Amino acid sequence: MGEIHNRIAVLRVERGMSRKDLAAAVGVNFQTIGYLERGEYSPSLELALKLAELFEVPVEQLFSLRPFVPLSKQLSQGGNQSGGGGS
Amino acid sequence: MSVEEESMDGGLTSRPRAIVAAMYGSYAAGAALHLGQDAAGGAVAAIAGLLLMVAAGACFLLLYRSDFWRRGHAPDAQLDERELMLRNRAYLAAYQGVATLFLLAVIYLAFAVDFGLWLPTTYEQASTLVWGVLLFTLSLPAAVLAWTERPVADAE
Repeated sequence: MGEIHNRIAVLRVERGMSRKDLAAAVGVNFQTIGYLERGEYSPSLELALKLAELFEVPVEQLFSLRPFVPLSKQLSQGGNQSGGGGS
Repeated sequence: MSVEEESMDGGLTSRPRAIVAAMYGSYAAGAALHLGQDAAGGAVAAIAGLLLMVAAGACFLLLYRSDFWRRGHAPDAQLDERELMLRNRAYLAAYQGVATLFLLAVIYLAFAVDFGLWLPTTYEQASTLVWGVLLFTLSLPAAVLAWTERPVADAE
């Protein structure tokens, strides 16, 4: 199975949450958040939906089969691209 | 699913593989020295063997107090989806390890009887083997987790 890319770390830091805070909010161990952020674990559909709901973004903005466009590149282009899923 | 706090692990998370290797290695070496004391140099070898087995026991206690042990033995409801997946993999690996060793032991027994190979004949020899089997089988799921995982150190 291929790697699933995600923006969990960016969104978590943006909201000022620790891994423990995020883990408690979605009902997993904080280690699991670390593995998700490192791309070493692909979540179940249930966990993916919980994370998307918590961050208030569509699930495809949070997870993608292709790497996301880096934020710096998006800013330099002045666009508001959604990342790997769309381009 | 519930969120579990980190348990006390005596710093095990920073060197889990070393602890697992030391536990199995020192017990095997200690048992060999203790049981082969006549060939290896008498009382000194016997005492060194005992000390190595005590060291293996200390490593076992470290593993027992670790988060790896908790996750290796916790009910499903106390684990999240990733922990459950890893625990099930560890159980599979533990089963395969125990089944393989059991098969090898049975084959050895069959040959030992036919060819006059070493077999435990005293209480001390038998108890050393029994304690070794207990240490191995009880610790195996947690040891597999400790060997294969690369924990996230930072909760922040």
